[in-house]
This record gives sequence, structure tokens and C-alpha cells, in this order.
Amino acid sequence: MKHWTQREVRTGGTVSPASVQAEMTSSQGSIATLDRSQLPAACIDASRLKQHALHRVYEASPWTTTGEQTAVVDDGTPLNNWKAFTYQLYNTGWTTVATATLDGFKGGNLFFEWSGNAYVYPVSTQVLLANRECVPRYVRLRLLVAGRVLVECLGPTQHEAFRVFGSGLFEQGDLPVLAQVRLTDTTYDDIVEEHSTNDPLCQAHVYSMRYLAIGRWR
Amino acid sequence: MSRINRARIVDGDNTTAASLNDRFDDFSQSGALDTFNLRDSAVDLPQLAKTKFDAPFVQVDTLGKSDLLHTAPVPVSANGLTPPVAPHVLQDGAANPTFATYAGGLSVSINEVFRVYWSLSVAADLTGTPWNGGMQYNEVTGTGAGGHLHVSTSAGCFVAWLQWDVTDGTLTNWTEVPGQSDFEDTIGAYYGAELADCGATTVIPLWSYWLRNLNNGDASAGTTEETNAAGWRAVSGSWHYTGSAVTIYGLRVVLRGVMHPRRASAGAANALVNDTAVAGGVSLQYTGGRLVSFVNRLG
Repeated sequence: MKHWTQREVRTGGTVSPASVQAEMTSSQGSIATLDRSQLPAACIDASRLKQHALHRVYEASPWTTTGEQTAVVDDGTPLNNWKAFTYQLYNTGWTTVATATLDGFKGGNLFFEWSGNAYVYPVSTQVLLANRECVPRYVRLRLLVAGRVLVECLGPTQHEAFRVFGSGLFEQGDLPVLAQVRLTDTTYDDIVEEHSTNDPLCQAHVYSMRYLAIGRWR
Repeated sequence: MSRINRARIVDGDNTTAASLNDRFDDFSQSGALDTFNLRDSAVDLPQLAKTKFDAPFVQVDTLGKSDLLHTAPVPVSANGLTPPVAPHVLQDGAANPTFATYAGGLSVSINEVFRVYWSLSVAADLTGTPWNGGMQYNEVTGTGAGGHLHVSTSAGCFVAWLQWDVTDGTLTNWTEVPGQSDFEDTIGAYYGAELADCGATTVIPLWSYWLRNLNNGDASAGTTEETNAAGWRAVSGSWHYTGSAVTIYGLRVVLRGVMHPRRASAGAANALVNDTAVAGGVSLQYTGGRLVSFVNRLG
């Protein structure tokens, strides 16, 4: 480990280019930038840091224009239902409901939390064909960062709030983030429409979405 | 910040103490400690000033009433009036409101984020069949009158949201935090808030309703209704704020119910509105919780 022996140069002293270069070379250059043995204790505070030097906070509130998912919007539901997921329009599988790009992520640890409210229609939890066991209705939630699962959970089973968070190590770059939901798939016996009007019934929705992420590096 | 890059000293140059010392001063200028001028892993704990510059503030406050056994929880009646009465402010069971106060005001600058996390122990207290009243149900094929059955949406809920006082320390100027409505907006014939204005809202479920032995969407043969009131549980909320600088003097959680999904008309925005028709059969009860607020630098 090299050491930076800073000295005070006095006018009138004997100075040669070599002696000065040696001093500077020990403290500056492509292989001689300051390291922990040269930096004084407690020398770094907010005023000496370039913005985002140590960490960066990313956030959005609301996440998406209104905080609501708009990936599946069925406008034909009754007025006491939301225009949202119906089994007539939901094609099963993971559905992206919000996206973000974490610009300038320098590589290191990423903490990401996704908050909001979710609704799921639980009426068909115990249908006839599925009589051997219940089929609980979930709004399963997961976060993909740079194509990899950061966190995944069963998610809400009622009309309730959620907060999903996780952390992991990620490479440098502008990291793409996908927030995805997956409903419990429909069965033959499910109630999917109103009695008299045959209007599709809302099966799930996600709203009040917001996110806060912190990238930490160095 | 640019790379520290002074020209090399060469034979014949005139050197002075000032010019040489300037080279070392380069490293102490504001913003100089960046990726160009610091070696990888150059910064460790000893080098960081212990001034809490990264997380300058944190505070924990108690919400509600401390009652682990739920022997005497605080009741909150559902609103049955139009327009609705003021929301319920969390209290300690003796009519003393519980909220966070920041002595002298908590200043949040534009390069900081104000983060809030709170929790509360709650349970629904139901009388009768509120899931079968007001706008709380869908009609599906079944054995009821007209060949159909009222099937609860299970979407009925209480809502909790955040209010702050950013005026002064008298704490008499509570307003909704940015992005949050007071649920007193007009939604068709009802009062509530569009979902786009529920940025600091936590919904609290009241019941789950489902049908046993449902047959091809038909509740006619052998189907039985099952309903469970939402029992004691921990609900929580989170919110964060960035943007214009603000000084915060107080922060609190308020409650209102019973709310239900609604749209003013076909194609109108999704909203949560106050369903006053079922107010008589629903109340919420709560005990204690915590509210944590803190400030982080954005970077």
C-alpha cells in the first residue's frame, strides 16, 4: 500500500521536478488515485461529494401517471366495480403494470420498494370443480430488475395495502425495472359476469402505486 | 465534477510554494472526491464525517392506544352523513390525538427525500349483513329473488391517509399531503376520491365473502355463502416526498369509512366513495401502532 506524504513546500527551498513529481505521482494518476490510507479521517461530508457519488435515490409517487395499473382495463364493468382486470380481458400470466428505468446506476447494491393498494374479488375461492381444495385468489406481485427477479410474493388476498421490497447486487447501467402482477387463473365455475346485464365483473386492480429505490455503491 | 488534472512540472519551470500547494489543495475542493480522483474502495467508514449527512433525521412516534390484548380498543364509527363528517384522527383512547410533531419544524430540502412508514393494529366490528347493503354487492345467477343472488364484492373498506401541518407549530392547519385527497370530492352522487388522488392511502379490509360449491357461475344449487369479518391484523402505510423545500411541523394518520369502488359514469375515472347506506353495521376498532419518519439525501 502506498502512502501519500504530503509536505509543505516553502519558497526558497530546493525543489527539483523529480521530487515534486514523485510526491504527486504517489497521490494522483491512473494507478495512484487517493485510497483509504491517504484520506484523512472524517474528511468526507456532503460538501465534498459529487452528487450520487456514494448512493442515489430514485422515486416516483405516483408510479405510472395516476398510480393505477392500466395494463388491463375493462370499461364494461358495472359502476360499482372498477374498470380494471376482468377474466374476459386478462390472459393469465405475469402482466407488467408499471415500469421504471434507474438511470446512472453505478453498480452495487440496489434496494427497491413498491407500495400501493390492491383489490381481488374472492367470491370464487371455493367453486364446485375445485371442491377438493380451495383456490385462494391472489394478486401475486413481483419485481424484475434487469430481467432478474428481485422479489416475488403471493400478494394481497383481499382489498388491502401492500409493500414489496427487496435488495440485490446489480451491474452498472441504466437498470430497467418491471412491476408485474399475476392473478389466480379462472376456473370453469367462476363468477365472471353480472346476472342480468352480463357485464364483466372486476376481478382485481392495483392502485396508489409508488416506488422508492436506493442504489449504493463504492 | 471534472478530473483533477494539472499539467506536469518539467525542467525549467518556476516553482513556488503557492503553485505546489495548490496541487494538494485540489483534493480538498468541493466535489473533488469523485470517481476519477478516488481509487476504488478508497472510502471506508473512517473517512466519512460523522455528521449524519446521509440520513440527517429519524423519529419514531406512537400512534393510537397501547393495548396488546385488545381489551378496550378505540372504536371508529362509519360515516352515515352526506356530506361526510371530518375524518377520525388516531387517538389514545382518552380523546387525545396521537401524531408526530417536529419541534421547530423539520426542514426538508430539494435534495432530500422525506420518508414515512406507519403501522396500526385494526379489526372490523360488523353488525348484521353490511356486505349485502348499499353498493357492496354484485348480482349473480342464484336462488334469490328474480333468480339472482347478491354477492358481495368484498371491496368495502376503511381508508387511512396522511395529513401534515406545514404552516406553523400551532398544529391547527392540517392538510392532506401532496397527491392525497380528503375523500370529500364529488364523485357523481357520492363523496370520495378518484384513485389518482389516493397517493398516501392505505385501505383496510372489512370482510371477505365467498361462495362454497359455486357451479359454473351459478349460485342456485347447493351453494352456501361464507363471510368472515376482518379480524385483528396489522395494517401499514408508507409514503415519501420529494420536490419543493418544505418545513413540516406535524404528521398524522386519519381514518374514514365505509368506502367502496365506484365510477360516476361509464368511462369515468375509478374512485373510492363513501357508502353511507351500510354505516350502521360497520365500525372499525384499533389499538396501537408506530409512525416512523426520516429524511435521506437523494444522492
